[in-house]
Amino acid sequence: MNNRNIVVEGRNLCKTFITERGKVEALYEVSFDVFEKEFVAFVGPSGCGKTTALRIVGGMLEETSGKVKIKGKPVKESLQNIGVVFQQANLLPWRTVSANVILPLEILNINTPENQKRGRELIKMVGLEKYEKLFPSELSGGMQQRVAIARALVHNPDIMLMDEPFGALDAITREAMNLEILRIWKETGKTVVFVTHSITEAVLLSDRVFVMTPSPGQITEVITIDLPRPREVEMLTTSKFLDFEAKIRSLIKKYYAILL
Amino acid sequence: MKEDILSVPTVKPPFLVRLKRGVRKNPEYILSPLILILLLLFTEYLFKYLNVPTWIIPRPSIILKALVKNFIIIYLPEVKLTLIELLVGYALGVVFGIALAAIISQYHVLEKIVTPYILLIAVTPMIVLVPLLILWLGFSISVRIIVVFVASFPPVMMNSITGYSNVGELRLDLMKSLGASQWQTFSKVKFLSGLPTTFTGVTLAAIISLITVVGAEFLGGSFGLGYLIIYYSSLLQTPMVFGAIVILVIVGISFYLGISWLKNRIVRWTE
Ligand SMILES: Nc1ncnc2c1ncn2[C@@H]1O[C@H](COP(=O)(O)OP(=O)(O)OP(=O)(O)O)[C@@H](O)[C@H]1O
Ligand SMILES: [Mg+2]
Repeated sequence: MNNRNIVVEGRNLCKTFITERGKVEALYEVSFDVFEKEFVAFVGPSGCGKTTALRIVGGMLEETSGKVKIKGKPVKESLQNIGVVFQQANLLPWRTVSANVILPLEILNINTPENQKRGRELIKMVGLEKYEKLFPSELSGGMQQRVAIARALVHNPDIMLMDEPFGALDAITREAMNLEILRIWKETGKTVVFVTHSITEAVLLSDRVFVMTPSPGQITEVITIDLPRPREVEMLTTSKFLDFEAKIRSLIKKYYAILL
Repeated sequence: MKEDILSVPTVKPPFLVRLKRGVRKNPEYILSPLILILLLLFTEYLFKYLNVPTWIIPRPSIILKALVKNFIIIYLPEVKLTLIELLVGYALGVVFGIALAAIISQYHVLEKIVTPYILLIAVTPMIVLVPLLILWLGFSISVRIIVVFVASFPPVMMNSITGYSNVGELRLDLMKSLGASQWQTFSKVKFLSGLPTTFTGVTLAAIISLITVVGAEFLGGSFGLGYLIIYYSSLLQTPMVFGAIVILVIVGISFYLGISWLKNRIVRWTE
């Protein structure tokens, strides 16, 4: 794995929020690498700084100190190479499905016929070709999140950032979406950075899991998930899978034991 | 082609049946106008019975007669002028209000700095400017256009700023993640996210504009519906005064309904 190219490089990232209640150290000295075509997940309890880390990597938030490089370049110069999927689908309600999907093309000034064609292909890939002309309010939560995935891919970025993309979905839809995102990842060959607070989801999807703990937000351990691919739901009950889950759970629990 | 057994031939029910169904479904379409008619008839006969002098309150039929008889020659030219003052001043005010809100909401610090001034211009009844404007510009139509403009932009601006500063963080994150310019963020996200709130200001501005234009016409210049009201009341020609009031009411209602229609045409999404 280490012979592969580094795509995302985070070094000594710190982020301190100044609020009315005082300083919040959302991230403290966080360093990590993500390799090409890798699927990594940030896992940790609420408030440990997962979203903060992802927002910095995606150019949505300025770090207090430290640095992030995307393929060796600063984030600000790499935005066209990043696609983001948010917790809520975060679609624009006045745009149809297809207009939502091509939004990044408009913003990046690459709204060419070929790119629009890719938009249509992506809508097909997520199984929504019949719904192109509908508005987000006419779609179910799972369908909306598929639109958001198509939107994140339309400008053909190498990197996909996903912040609890399926957190708002019911368990059944969520499982289906997990398998779907694995399929899309395999089909498109993207590098994925995935944030979740579901340990099961992290183990099922990832090559490596970055376990985070809060106050200050830190990566406590990096766990390599060497389960075979393709991953399937049947694996959820295998002993190896359960061992990984137990390991991550104990890491997080250890942190809470210190607190209590 | 074989006839579908289940298909029932559709015959349009007779007019009266349809009317009856319609009334049962939306009784207000019949009842609201009915109340108006009954009220008019009631006042008509009450005033006749009580012998109320026409110069105090004319009966509805007399108002109607005055209105119909003088509409083309006397009212129509003044209505046109009032409408021009109203619509030009208002349109400029709406555009200016939105533009100012767009600029102010671009910078959080600026928004904080100007907040007291926004409040100041929002609570000042702009009609106070009319005597000054007349002093500077004479009895011209521009005085009224300016005052309508000045009165209509603050509510639009205030509500738009509220709308723009309440755009969801996640939407702004989406724009930042794509490296959107300030203009792209405004035109593709903020403007539309804030549009329902902007329309609240636009509606409020319509009502304020109408009050302001008539007030300005009261204060000087010998044209416009407001002037007709002052003029004919000085001559004790009360039916003509009421005629002008009826026209103003119709103008106001049409104005309001037009804006509601526009809002429903444009803001068709649900958040
Ligand atoms: N814009 C902000 N202003 C102030 N504090 C913030 C801001 N964003 C995050 N924080 C704080 O930083 C810490 C980390 O937040 P973050 O959203 O990154 O956590 P998270 O791991 O994503 O949590 P969750 O699983 O609930 O989404 C929290 O204590 C949070 O309150
Ligand atoms: Mg979060």
